[in-house]
Amino acid sequence: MTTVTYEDAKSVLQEIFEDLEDDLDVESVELSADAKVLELGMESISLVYLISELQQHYGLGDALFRKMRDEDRLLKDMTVDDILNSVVELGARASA
Amino acid sequence: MGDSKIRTLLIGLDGATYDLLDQLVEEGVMPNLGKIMEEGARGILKSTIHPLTPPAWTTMTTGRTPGNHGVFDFIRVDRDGAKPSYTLATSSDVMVPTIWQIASREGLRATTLNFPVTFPAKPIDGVVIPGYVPWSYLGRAIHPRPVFKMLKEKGVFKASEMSTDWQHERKAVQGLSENQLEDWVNFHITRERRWFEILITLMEEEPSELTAVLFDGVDRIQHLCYHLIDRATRDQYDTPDAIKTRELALQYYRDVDGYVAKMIEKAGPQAQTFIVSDHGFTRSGARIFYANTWLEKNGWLDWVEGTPMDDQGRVALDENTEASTLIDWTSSKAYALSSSSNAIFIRQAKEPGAPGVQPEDYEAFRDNMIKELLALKDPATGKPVVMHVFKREDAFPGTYSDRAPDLTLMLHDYSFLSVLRADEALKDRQVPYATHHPDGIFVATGPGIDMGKRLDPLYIADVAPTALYSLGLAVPRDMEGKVSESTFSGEHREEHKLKFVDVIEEAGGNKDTSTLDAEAQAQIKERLKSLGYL
Repeated sequence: MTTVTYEDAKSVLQEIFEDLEDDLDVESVELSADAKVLELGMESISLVYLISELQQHYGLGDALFRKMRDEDRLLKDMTVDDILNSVVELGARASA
Repeated sequence: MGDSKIRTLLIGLDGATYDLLDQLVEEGVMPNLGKIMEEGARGILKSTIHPLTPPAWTTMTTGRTPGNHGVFDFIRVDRDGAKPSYTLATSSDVMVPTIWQIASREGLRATTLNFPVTFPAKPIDGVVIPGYVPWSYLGRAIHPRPVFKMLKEKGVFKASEMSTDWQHERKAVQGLSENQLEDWVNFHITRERRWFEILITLMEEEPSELTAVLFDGVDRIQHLCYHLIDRATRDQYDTPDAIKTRELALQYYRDVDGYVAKMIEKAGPQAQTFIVSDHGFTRSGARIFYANTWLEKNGWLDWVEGTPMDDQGRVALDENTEASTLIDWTSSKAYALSSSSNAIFIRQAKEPGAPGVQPEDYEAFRDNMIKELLALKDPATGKPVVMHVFKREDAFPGTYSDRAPDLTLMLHDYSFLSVLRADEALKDRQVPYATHHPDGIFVATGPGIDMGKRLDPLYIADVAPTALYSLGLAVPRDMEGKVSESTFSGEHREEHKLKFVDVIEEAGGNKDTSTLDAEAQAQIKERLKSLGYL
């Protein structure tokens, strides 16, 4: 696979959020880097599906969730920046 | 959208049984279905060895048995780690193509609504709205994306009314009081109407040669209300709440009956329709088998210190605690992790001295456990508890047999076991409950169907190749199910010769076999526990 850039990952995340905003008729969400994903307006279970989609989009298997588990981090505590950096890091590993 | 005409309409009624349907037809509640069953072809549809929603529907839609499609439960147990854990079954666990994937591959369009184990949607030419998706993600889960926007513009997509109300189900699985049952049935009345409206909209806007929808409220209502509907027991329940709930339940069936008729009419005169269920239903017995407690009493399982005793007739935990956290993994040799699977796993030691059964002792250990299970009698009744014990290799032979449980139990009353700790291995059930039975339904109608035919029992894997034949497609030779040729008239069979094709399937395109893990699964497991399956 090709290397994942931060901006590319952000655009994918943004697209998902835009769809979800549209689905739920909620106000536009600003994906600031330090915002926790759980505070972006969705119920927690939907974040799980979002992460799953990101993994699928980049062919990461369950690497993103596995990384969170290895680092003993919870989804509710992760920021947009954390997730995007993780995707970039895992993408680089996968393409290495 | 295009000019596709529906060739095959597959209507799933989760858990539908002739035992109730025939009664409801006789009593005038389901006149349309009665006419279809009388004039069309009908037969019993034998479910998977353990008749459970995910493996059964997956068998129905792939033509493969669980050992060859890879889905055995709502969960997939991972035994590779130091202690057993489980991951959730998703579409990535389905290792062979579904009929909608095959149809799409062959140049036809397919629509599939509300089937389990279909998230994330595998791309097809057509529409997928997966089942078991939380309401706030249901729109996003729709494939392709523009369909969501169209459904929303049409005003038929109401995610909160279509998805499962998990909090509601959490209470329901352990039983509801009579006054709560009314809300339960009303919820499903609304829910099915939404799925019906979406299907009709898609028939107009996105017609597909293969169109499939699953109404799963049948199962949910029967679990809790069977005793109020079945004429063998209903007269025993005559409180105002019970009578009101019964009337609502009958309204539910009236609605479904109307939807079936309207869907068939909308599909057009050229369409063949198959109405199927993944399993049947029957009343549970009065007792609950606490499998892990039984294992404990045999010296094969230890509980974590402080594990509470259940005294409420529950099959799983209410709170957000996995059953696996109750088990002491330093010493336990066998365990049950989910109520849904009726499965016992035997833990093989990774190395000498490690917890579990040494590999060389496995066969003898398992044989002894089978013997003890079959010998088990309920001290209250003196009757045997376990009807059959299936070994993995016998119940689920195939490529993915290693994912299957070591033993699968069929209890005498067909009920689900409890994974909780109790003071006794068999305890009284607290509220009336109904459970899955292996005999589901298969009803066919439309041009080319051998009308009025009473079919010999079919196997659930037969539905997929039968649907492909109905679509005019060749049947993959490696499908385990067989085309139910007797469903079709001789003239139709003469004009539409059965064709087979050699297909070397990639493993379902499933390199990404575990898309959910860690916290993801923890959160979804919570939802499954609310259904009482874990």
